[in-house]
Amino acid sequence: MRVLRICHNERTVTPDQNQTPRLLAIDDSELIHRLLQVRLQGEHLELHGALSAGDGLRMAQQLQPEVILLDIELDEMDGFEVLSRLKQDPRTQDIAVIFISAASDTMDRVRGLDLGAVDFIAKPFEVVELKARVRSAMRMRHLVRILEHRAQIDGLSGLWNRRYFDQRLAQEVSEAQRFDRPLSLVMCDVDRFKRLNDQFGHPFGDGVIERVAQLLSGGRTSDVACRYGGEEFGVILPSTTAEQALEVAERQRLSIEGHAWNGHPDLIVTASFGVADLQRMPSGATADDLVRAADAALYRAKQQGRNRIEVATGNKVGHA
Amino acid sequence: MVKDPIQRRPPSGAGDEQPLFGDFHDDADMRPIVVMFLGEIPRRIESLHANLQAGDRAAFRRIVHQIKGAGGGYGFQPISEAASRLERCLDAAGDRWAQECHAHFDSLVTTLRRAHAGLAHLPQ
Repeated sequence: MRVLRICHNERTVTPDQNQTPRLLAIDDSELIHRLLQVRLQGEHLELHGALSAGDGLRMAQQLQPEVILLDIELDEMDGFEVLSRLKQDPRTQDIAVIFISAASDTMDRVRGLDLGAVDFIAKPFEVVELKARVRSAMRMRHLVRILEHRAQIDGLSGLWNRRYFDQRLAQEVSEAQRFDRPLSLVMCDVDRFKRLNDQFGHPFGDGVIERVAQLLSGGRTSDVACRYGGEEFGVILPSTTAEQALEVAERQRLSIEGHAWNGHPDLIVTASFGVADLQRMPSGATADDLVRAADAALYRAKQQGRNRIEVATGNKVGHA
Repeated sequence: MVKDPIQRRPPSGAGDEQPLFGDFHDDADMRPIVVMFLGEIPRRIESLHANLQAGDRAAFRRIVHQIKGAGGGYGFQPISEAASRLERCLDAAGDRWAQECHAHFDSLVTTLRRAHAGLAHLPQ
């Protein structure tokens, strides 16, 4: 059985481990808010309240609570409309919503569940039922978050996967351009990996991927190490110039080259690197442009003998 | 403007009502908010009367709906039941809603006053 191992650098820790879950109650009755405060005392959660639909939507966006208790009958817009808006907004679409209502109409319940609510509590509520349903929704939200997180982790290396890399790099490029901050990308490829597989077998090759992943993710906590595909890795370095990225890559190159492989004392595994710096690229460069530039540099490193680092053309720093 | 049928009746003081005790009479955690809930009853009855007199059906119904949703939660299920009957009547009534539902309104106000009368009997 393969156990999923997650490299515990800053950005791959499972979500919610240290955070008190947040519950947002949206109800236009102060009586209900007071009641919830007392009735949910002692539960491991942080309770927030909104007295109107508008305030509730704003708070949901800002707080990103795990669960929302949503009344159906509200003033400005009803709870169904609030739920629709929550589900249309990427920031709030995954929040577990429990309808609370004094209305007992079955069609209201059906409509709420069809719109994406996870549960329904009738007012006046039994306190044990209220607590149990809130706990159940919190558990469900937590599990969904873990699944979302796992879906972004590469099973073999424990690093962020390609999907996460693409999303994260696009986000970092956008922020670097907006705030005029440096951003570098290091692409790394294990040298002669096919030969390692052929000579020592695929389990050993898998072990090389795992170990290289650990070495790449063991550096600065702000760096985002990802498995790009096969034996290729991408490391996103926010707020990092090409010169600094070159130093990071050189430390990584040396750590891979110097690693002692169990059972193979004479074996030296090496990797080649390509570095690209967004600030030295034409303005308006995209994440794809940055990847292409770093990949081209990596290709040159391979062509020029492997186990070396090249910086993307236009990023005139030199090579190591 | 809609005539308030209740105002034509002799007003009954809280002291005349048989106190209604809630389920959380002895619950120390609930007591502070139960006291607050009961203490606010006269103001809620006033608001109901004011909206009835102004003919503001939506505002009147909103208060009734809130009382229905909260009453049982504070341990006063008869309040929720009386408010629920009034709400159903309001939803089914026509333009003469104030007249059509006055018996249910009367019943809710009586129940609220009985609960309020129980305030003096709550343990300190």
